[in-house]
This record gives sequence, C-alpha cells and structure tokens, in this order.
Amino acid sequence: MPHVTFIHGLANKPEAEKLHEIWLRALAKGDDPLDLRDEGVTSKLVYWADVLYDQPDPDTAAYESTQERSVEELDASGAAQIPDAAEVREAVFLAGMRAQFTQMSDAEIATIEAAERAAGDKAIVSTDPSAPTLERIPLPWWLKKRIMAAQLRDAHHYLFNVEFSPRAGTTYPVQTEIRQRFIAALKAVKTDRHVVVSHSMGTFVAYDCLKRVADCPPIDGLITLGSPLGIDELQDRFKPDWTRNGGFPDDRIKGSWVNIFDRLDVVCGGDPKIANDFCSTGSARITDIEVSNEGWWRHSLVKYFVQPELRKTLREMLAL
Amino acid sequence: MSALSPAEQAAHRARQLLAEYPWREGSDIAAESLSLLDTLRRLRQFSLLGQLADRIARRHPLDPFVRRLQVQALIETGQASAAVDVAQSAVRRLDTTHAEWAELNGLLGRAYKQMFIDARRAPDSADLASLKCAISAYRKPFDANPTNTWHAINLVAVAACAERLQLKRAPRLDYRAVARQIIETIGERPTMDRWDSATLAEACLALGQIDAVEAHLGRYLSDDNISAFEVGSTLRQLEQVWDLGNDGDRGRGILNALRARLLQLPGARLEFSAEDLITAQQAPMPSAVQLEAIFGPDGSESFKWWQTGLQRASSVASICAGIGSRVGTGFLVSASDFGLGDTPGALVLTNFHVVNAHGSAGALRAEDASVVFEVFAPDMAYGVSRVVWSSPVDRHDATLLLLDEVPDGLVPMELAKRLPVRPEDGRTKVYVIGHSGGGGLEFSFQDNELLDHEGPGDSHFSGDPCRLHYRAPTEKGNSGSPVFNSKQWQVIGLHHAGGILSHLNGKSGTYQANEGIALLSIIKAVNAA
Repeated sequence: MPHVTFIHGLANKPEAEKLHEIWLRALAKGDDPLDLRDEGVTSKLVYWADVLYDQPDPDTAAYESTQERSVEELDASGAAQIPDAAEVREAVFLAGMRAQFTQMSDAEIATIEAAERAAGDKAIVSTDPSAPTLERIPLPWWLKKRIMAAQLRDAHHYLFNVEFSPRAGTTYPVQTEIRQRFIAALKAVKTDRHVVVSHSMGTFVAYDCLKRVADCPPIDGLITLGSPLGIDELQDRFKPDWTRNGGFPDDRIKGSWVNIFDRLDVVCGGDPKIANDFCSTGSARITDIEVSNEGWWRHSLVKYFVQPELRKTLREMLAL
Repeated sequence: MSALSPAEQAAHRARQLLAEYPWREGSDIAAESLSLLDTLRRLRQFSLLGQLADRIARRHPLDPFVRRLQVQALIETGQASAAVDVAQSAVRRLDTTHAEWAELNGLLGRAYKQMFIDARRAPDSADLASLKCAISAYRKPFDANPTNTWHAINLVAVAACAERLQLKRAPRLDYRAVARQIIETIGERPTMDRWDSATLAEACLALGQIDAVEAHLGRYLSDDNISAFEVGSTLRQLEQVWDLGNDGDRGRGILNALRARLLQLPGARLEFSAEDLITAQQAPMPSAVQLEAIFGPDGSESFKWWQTGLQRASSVASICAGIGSRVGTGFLVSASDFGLGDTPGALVLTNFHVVNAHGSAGALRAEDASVVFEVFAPDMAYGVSRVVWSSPVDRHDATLLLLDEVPDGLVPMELAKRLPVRPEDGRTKVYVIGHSGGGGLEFSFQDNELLDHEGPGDSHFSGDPCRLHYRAPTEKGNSGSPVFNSKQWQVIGLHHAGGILSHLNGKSGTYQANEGIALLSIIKAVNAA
C-alpha cells in the first residue's frame, strides 16, 4: 500500500488531526480529485507546530480558505516575534533572511504602517518590479510584518537548534525534536512506495533529515512545495554536508525529487528554482515545475494542492 | 460482544428493561427507565422510546414528561393520530405556565402537520382540517410566549401553507408579521446557533426574501455539528410544507442543494422513486451564485459530486422474478473490465443468491429472471441470455449475466482500481445504491462508514473472495447492489449480506455490519476461470 508522509511549514497550525484532514480534503477537491484514502494510499502528517506554538489554532476554516484576509489565511498565525541574535552568525542569518522579504528598515516600515492606518488600513504597495515580492503584495504591513516574523523566527529556531519553551513546563531543542518526529514517521512506514510531500519550512526539515541525519531511512520520492531552499542563507546553514554540486541526497531519495514553485511565492525568495543548487555529482536531478497560484498570497498549501502538476506528479510517484 | 456504540448501548439496555417488565415496586428500574428515555430520544431510537415510555406511563399516566416523549415517539414512528390523542389528553391536564404545556402543544401541532403532509398530494377535507388544527396548536404557545421562535416559525409555515391552499385561517393571524417578529427576536440574541439560522431562513421565505433565505441556509449548513437528521428535517419542511419544489428554479435549486449537502453527512439517507430520480438527474444545475451562497466556495463541486451519484443510478438494475416482482439488484459492467473483452453484449453483475444458472441457494434461475434499468428504461425488461460466470454464496456470491439485448446508450459502471484505506489509516465512507425491500430505487447513505476490508496491501488480489464491511442500511432486496467509494463514485464492491458479523482480519468480536465482496477479487476470479 503506497504511503505519503506530509510535513507542514512555518507558523502556527490547527491541531494535527484537523490539519491532516484539511490537506487530504484539499487534494480531493476540484475537477481532478485525488482522494488518497479512496485510492488506498495511507498517509501521515508530521506535525511540529506545537514545538513552537502554545496552542493549536482554533480557526480551522481559515486553513482551507483561499481568501487573503487574516493571519491564518496567510501562513502567519501564532504571533511569532523576530528573535534577537545570540551570536554573529545568527545575526547574519536573520539579516540575510530579512532581506529576502524587504529592503526597508524597521523605521521605514513603521512610517508606511502609520500611513496605511491613516488611510483606513489601505495597503501601500511598492511598484518597483525589482523590489522583493513581499513589498509588492497589496497587503497592509501589519500583516506583512507578522508573515515575515513567523518565517524568520521559526527558521532561525530550527536551524540553530534553539532551546524553546512554547508553553509553561515544556522546552524543546527545536531542531532535535522536529528531526526526531520526522525520522520516526519515516521509520514507521513499511511499504515499497513512500513519498514525502513537504511545504514551506517543512522542506528544509525534510532536506535536513534526508541529507544530514545518519539514520534517516530512504524514500521513493520527494515533492517540495513553496520551498525556501533556494535562499543562500539557508543553503549556508547546511554546509558542509551541502554543496552545490553534491547537495542531492542520492542515497536517501531512490526516485525523483520534484520541486513545485510559484515565482510570486514570497517564501521561495528570489530563487525559487533549486535544481542547480542541489546537484548529484554536478548533474541536476531535481525537476523544477513552475505553477501559478491564485490571488496575491501564493504560498498557500491549499493553492498548491489544486495544481494539476502536483497531482500528476504525486500520482506518478505513487504509481496510481 | 465487541464495543457498542452509544446508540447500541442504549438500545441494548432498553431491551433489557422491557424484558424485565413488570418492574418490582420500589426498584430503581423505573427511575433508570425514566432517565433512559431522553437518551433514546437524542439517539433517535424511537421505536424503543415509544415502548419504554408506554411501560412507564402505565405506572405514571399523568407524568407530562413521559407523555411528551411518548408523543414524539408516536409521531416519529408514523402514528400521528395516536400522538394527537395522547398529546391532547396530556395537555388538558396542564396549566399554561407548565413547561411541558408549550412543548406538548408544539408536538400536537407537529402531529397535525404530519397528518396533512402525509396526504398532501390529494388532501381531503379531513386533511385540510388537520392543517387548521396545526395552526391552532402552534398558535397557543406562540400567543403565550411570542419569543418562542420554534412554535412561531412552525406557525408561520403552516399558515403560509394554508394561504397557498386558499384555506380560511384563524382570524387576525398575519403570518408575515409573525415572521418579521421572529427576525427581530433572533436579531436581539447575543449569539445565534444553527437553529436560529434555519428559523431565519424560513422566516425570510415567508417574506419572499430569497437572497436572505440562501444566506441563512448557508450559515446553517456550514455548522460543523449539523446532522443528517437535521438537514433531512429542514429539507422535508421546505419541500412538503413550503412546497419549494413548485416555486421556480430558485426554489428547486435550494432543494437540490440541500439534498446534495445531506448526502455528504454521516448517517444521511435519501430515497427516490425512479420517477423522482429522473427528475433530479434532469434538474438544471443551480446557479454558481446560489450554490456558493448555500454551500460556500466549493458549492459547484459538491453539487457535481451529487449529480455524478445520480447519474450512476442509471446503470443500476432491479432483478425481477417475472413482471414487476423485484428480488434483488444488479448493475451494468464492462466486459473488458472483467477480462472478457471478447464477450459481445451487455453484462450485469449480481449475487449468486439472487440469480444463478440452476436456481440453487433459493435464487432465481437465470431463464426466469428479468433485468430492468428502472431509471434508464423503466418499461423495458431484459432477459438473460446466459450465465457467463458465477461463484457460490460461500465464495464470491456473484453471478455475471449476459443480457439478451444491449441497452443502447447506457454506460457501464466505473470500477475503482484500488480499495480505500482501512479505518486504522483513516475513516472513509462507502455508498450503496439499490432497490430496498423490493421497493423503488433507493439511495442508501445511512451510517455509511467503511469498517474494514481484507484487501491486500499491495493491491495484488488473489482469486479468493475479499470481504468489505461497512455500516449502511441495506435491506433485503439490496443484494447485488454496487458499493461505491466516496469521492468518485467508482464501484469497489458487490453487496451481498448484512447482520451481526465477525470482525475481519482475525480481529475478535462481532458487530452489526453489512458485507460486500471486493470487485477486484471477483475480477481476479473471473480471469482465473
């Protein structure tokens, strides 16, 4: 029986079971539904929002919505704050990551925010085509700041394995804990056809484990959606295991790795294509597929899941 | 016995208490029975509720709570006139300030309303009098407490119905004014529940505000906790009391959208006559705006799903002994799907215990059977040319029949290539379409959960039977029905039995379940023959 391991991305999420159901429902929607359960495909969602957030988000409907009205619909729930850097390398990382989202200083953002409030929360948008994508999205900055903060905080805590207490009495070494959950999920699968589907930051968790964790089991295929792996600051964090010519986890991905991106997905940064960044002995093995999601917020998982290219790829990998 | 569901536990205990009757004086059984009544009501075990309420009422004939639940059980089990008698007797003994007084009057109104509905296609003067009695019964608690919106909205509905029928109503009753009052009353509540949304939808219907009707229904139907019973009740009210089906495309669209939503809910069940099913198949698709208002953003998709199910029903046939006597169900399949591509003509799959070559296992002999596609060609009875393949009851319980003529234009069932996951890997639903109890074509959607199956993990079926267990109300006559997967209406199994069954896959215990045979295992057996 084929199996899919899902892993979610940044920011807070509804409780695990509900999120899993949302993902399955999203795949089963539309004119070309892919109902994994009807197809006899088992699946599990690797859930790690509780490592970084106090309580699951109760607004489950927002995670199925393709509207762009709330922090939940914009992958920015949880009120994360950009952390203070404990070391220079962390400061460099945070500054580099921040630059992916905006070139503006905090003071400039505050000025725009005030102007937006004065205009009745009307978004002031950069018309400069060379500006980072986040600056060009017509959302008010009070929302954009939360999106940016969630991305930076969660990525930082994972990559620097920060000891973090999401709630009283519970502390996790973030990377260690999330790695354990992902590896345990992979080890529990007993099938000859196992595909991992990762979204957003879930992609660098999956990559980190497949490339850098010694006892990570192999998988048959990897599909990455809205991946930030093209961002230099992230790639740097995977050194020395990662190199541009040898970044592909050859011994852990038996089949193919397909990377699906939307060029206007802010999480992908300025470099959504990753085939040239994760080669196998100098040759590209990843297939980059560009799609165009609806609306302004292109990072939404449910928008990626309705893409025919994603469903076709998943069907092929699962031999359905 | 394996773990019982709450409904099964309550039913089991109720049967025990009934068996122990008469209860010893002073025992606590009477008290336990009393507390069990409300549980049975909530779990909609109305037959047992009625019996238990009757036993308690013999000792406590004046208890209005017991009488109220007895009245509800009588209504729900189709005994409306008896319900009227019991309710009238009980309500006469109560002061208007008693809490049960309003409840009993409401049920009295409901019983009268049901009497009218049962005869609505050709009501006589007695049935029309029932409608007037319903108005009177609902009006009393409304007059006593105008903020009681349950009585008020029913008063509006039956009064509007009387107006459509041009009946003289009670004087000084302006139901539109009552509807406006309901909207105002609910509008003043700090929070609204789904009942309020349903009530507002009806109130707006009384005022001809269709946009608002759809908006309120949309809120009502989007409630996570809504049940199939509730949607079914709303559907009946709008169809039978408000006559929305005769209120233009928009009204029919609302009813169709409600039906589609109903079928998505656990425990739902819809029954259609062949004629009604054809009407439903041919109904124009409600506008995208209307579907979105009622269903939300996925409205069109949900409706298409329902329409696909309706279309699948065309390929379902009744298996008849002679003319008109239905003994089972079958469905059209493609010869190529069974590896019989060189077999000319049309193939129908049914159970061995329904039809086989020699009439063994109590079945019809093939030459005595006729096959009628009740939706596709209700006037055409196809004969059986020969039995192509069969497998006895203790194996696949299946027979492939070659019809003596090809039903031109009828599409064979689409078969699933894989079985759904087992329940330990996620809950899934199955749907059964068939002819129940020898009656008309029935869509069966009640408690339609896949409980387990014996499918191999690698989807490589052997020729041995692979059983599926599911919880769906398939009655005698549904033998031979197709069992569909939940999303795409592809056939996964051939229904053949139901009852108290042992668990599959070596698990201990028994449960109430239905059993089908996986189509893929039947195909493998046909190929191996």
